[in-house]
Amino acid sequence: MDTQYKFVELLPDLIKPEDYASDPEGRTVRFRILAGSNEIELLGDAMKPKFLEDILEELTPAVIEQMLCG
Amino acid sequence: MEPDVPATEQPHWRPAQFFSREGNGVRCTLCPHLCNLRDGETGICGARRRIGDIIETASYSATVIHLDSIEKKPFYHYRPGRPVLTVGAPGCSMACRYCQNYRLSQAGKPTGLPWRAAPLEAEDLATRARIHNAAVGFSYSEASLASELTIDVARLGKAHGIDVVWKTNGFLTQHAVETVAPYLSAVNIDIKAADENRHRRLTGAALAPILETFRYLASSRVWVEVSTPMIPDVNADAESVRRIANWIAEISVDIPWHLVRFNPDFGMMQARPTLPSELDAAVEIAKDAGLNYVYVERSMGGRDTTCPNCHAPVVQRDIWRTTSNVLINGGCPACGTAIAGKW
Repeated sequence: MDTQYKFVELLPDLIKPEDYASDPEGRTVRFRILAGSNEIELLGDAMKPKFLEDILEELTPAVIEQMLCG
Repeated sequence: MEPDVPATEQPHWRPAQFFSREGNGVRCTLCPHLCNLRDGETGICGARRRIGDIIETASYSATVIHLDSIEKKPFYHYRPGRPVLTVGAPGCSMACRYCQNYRLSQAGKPTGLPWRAAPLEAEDLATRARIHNAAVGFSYSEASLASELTIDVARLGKAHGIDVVWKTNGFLTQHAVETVAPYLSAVNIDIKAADENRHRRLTGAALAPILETFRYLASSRVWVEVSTPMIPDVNADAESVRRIANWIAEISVDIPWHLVRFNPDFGMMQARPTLPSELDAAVEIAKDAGLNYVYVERSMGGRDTTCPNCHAPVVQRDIWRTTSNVLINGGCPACGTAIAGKW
């Protein structure tokens, strides 16, 4: 199954501005896992978005939601 | 919010403006690439093609239509709190190596990323904006590719007070800028680097035409703000920041400048993010250049407006919206100094 990217209006930040001072190389990836009755929602944030996307794609979800810049 | 009709993977073409016939050739004149196209060939942007002796545009399309806050574009001095019905469609006249929206901006190009969008009519867009009492915005990919749609929507929306705003790379020919500017209410323009070579390496496009667009729009009735992604080893050094700040200050010290944190993506995965200390240093350089309104996107305390005279806080914002606006008729409530903007 190919994962589709869906562009959404808003996703919450998990990385705060001050986090960048303690990780100058930008390797931080942060997750929040929410378990529902029939599904698991995985919210992620990363200083380098591709790190996060690579991890999420490994889980082969039907849809990955992405917030656009601008 | 979804487009009215389902998205397809085939562009929806219609006749465009902004081209010239030269002998057997047809040249697109929307952007300074000035693509001279063979019959059937698509331009660098992926959204304009030649068919016969005309150019067609695929930008009467929407992949996304989002109802955003105007602060998210970002506009900080233009109608705070106004919702913006924001349209994003495939294509871009640049190929920025860091683009986080590349799945949209580079779609339909030789990258192999699929085109996916629904056809969009100006009437439908104007109607939706009226329902939401919103401005119409073009963003996420390159707004200026929707120049023809911008003109149509602005004409339709004028009677209803629907303003049209762009988040743009500013890479337009002088003719195109002069043609579309009367239909625009506000523009946030990116100045992405401080010299030609770095700008070309970063974006695949020249810098000089962008500065011309900036200067033209800033001298017009269009409200202009500027954004710059602060990229280490590209433009986050003191000399580059000072140079861009001086370009803005030469036009007006009252033009807001948004310094945007860089998060490595797409073709720049080996780079590092902007450090808080680099953003802080850039703010100081910008203020030393005389700029009155310098903002740091998504940072602690970098989003508020203070009076340039008495330094009283006059507009406060959280990440995506205005939370407090104490201006009185556009002026500071403490000392009366006019705060530049369209409030």
